Amino acid sequence: MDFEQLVGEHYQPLYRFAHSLAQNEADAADLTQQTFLRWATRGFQLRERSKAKTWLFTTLYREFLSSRRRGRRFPHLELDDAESELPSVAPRVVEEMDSGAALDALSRLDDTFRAPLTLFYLQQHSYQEIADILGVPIGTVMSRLSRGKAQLKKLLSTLSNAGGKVIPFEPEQRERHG
Amino acid sequence: MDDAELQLRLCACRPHGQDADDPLMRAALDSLPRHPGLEAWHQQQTDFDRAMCRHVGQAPVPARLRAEILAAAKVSRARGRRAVLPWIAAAAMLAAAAVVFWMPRGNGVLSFAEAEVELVKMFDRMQTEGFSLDHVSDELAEVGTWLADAGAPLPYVVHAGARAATPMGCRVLDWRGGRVTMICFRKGGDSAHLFVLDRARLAEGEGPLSRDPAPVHHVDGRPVTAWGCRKCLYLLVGGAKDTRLDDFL
Repeated sequence: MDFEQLVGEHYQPLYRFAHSLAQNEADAADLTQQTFLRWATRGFQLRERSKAKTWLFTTLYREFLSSRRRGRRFPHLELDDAESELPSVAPRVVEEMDSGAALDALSRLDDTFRAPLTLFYLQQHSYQEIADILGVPIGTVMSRLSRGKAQLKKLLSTLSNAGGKVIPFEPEQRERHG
Repeated sequence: MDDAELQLRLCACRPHGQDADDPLMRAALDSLPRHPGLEAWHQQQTDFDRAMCRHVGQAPVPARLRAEILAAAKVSRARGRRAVLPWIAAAAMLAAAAVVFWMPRGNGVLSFAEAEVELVKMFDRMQTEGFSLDHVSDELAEVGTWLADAGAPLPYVVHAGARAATPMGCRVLDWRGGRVTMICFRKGGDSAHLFVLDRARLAEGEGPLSRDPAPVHHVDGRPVTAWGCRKCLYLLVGGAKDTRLDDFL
C-alpha cells in the first residue's frame, strides 16, 4: 500500500476521531496531518501491514495526549458509578435525531467517554483494538462505552429540554405506568 | 452471565455485525434469548448505535485535507533532506580527512564479509532506533531516478522477486565516508532491504561477481544474500529474522 493510498483510505475517519478529541477543525487537521507525517518517517517500518490502521489511530491519540500535556496538565476524571440500568431509547428519537444534534451531544461528553465512543461509532475498530489504541484494558473500554452511551442519551435529553435541536427521549414505559 | 455483564458486553458490540464472530460477543448474543427483558433493550440500543454510526460517519471533513496531507509529507521529506545536508557535508569532510590519514592502507581494504557484517549491524541499529526514508515511492523506476539525481549507487541488478514486491522508498546512507544506497521492499507481511555499494569501496576482487544471488545465509541472525555486477555489490537483508528472503529474489 503506498502513502497516497494509505492517506486516501484513512484520512477521513482519522480526522473525525481527531475532531472529536480536539473539538475544533484546525487542531483536528493538524493532528491528522501530523499522524501521516509520522507514518511517512516511521510507520512504514511496521511489519504487519494489516495493523496500519490501528497504528494510525494509536499514533493520533498519543499525539493528542502529548500536545495536550504540553498545553496543560492532563485532568484526572473521576468516573461516575456505573448505571444500574441503562436507559432505553424510544424509536422515534432514533429516527428523528439529526446529525448536528448527534455530533453536538457527542462533543459534549466527558473526554474519558468521547474517545472510545467515537472510535466505536466510526466502526473501524473492535473493542479490543480500541483498548490497544487508548492503552486501557478491555474491561475498561466496555465500561466506558456503556457509561458513555448512558451519558450520551442523558445529554441528548438535557439538550432537548434546554431548547436545543435534539428530539427528547420518551420516558421509559416502566416510569410512565409505574 | 448475569444481566449486567451481558449489557456491558453488548454495549461494545458494533451494530452491523462486525463483532459477531468474536467469542465474547458470540456468547453474549447467544445468551440474549435467555434474558427476555434485555432483548428489547438490545434492539433499541442497536438502532440507536446504528443511527449514531451513520451521523458520525457523515461528519464533514475539510475538502482540501487529503491534498494538504500529501503536500505536507512531500515538503517535510524535502526539508528533512536539506536539514541532513550540513551533516553529510561534515561527514564527507571527516571521511576525506580519514582517507588522507589512512592513505597507505587505502580505502578498499575491507573484505566483503566484513562489509556484510558492518552493514547488517548498521541496519540493526537503524531498525532499533527507527529511521526515515529520504525518498518515499512505490515505483522502483522512480526510486532509481531519484537515486541517480542524488548521485547514489544505483540498483542495476534487481531480481524478479523484488521487482514483484512493493518498494517503500530509499535512503542514502553514509558508510565509511562514502555513500551506500538502501532500498526498502515489502511483500505480504515481510520486508527486505537492498544495500547497494560501489565495488570500488572494497578491496580489489572482493565481493561476488555473479549476478545470481548467493545462497541465503544468516548474519547476526538475519537472513542475507548478495550478488554483484561490474560496478556494484548488492546485499539483501531481511527485515526480520524470519523473513522469507527467497520471496525477494
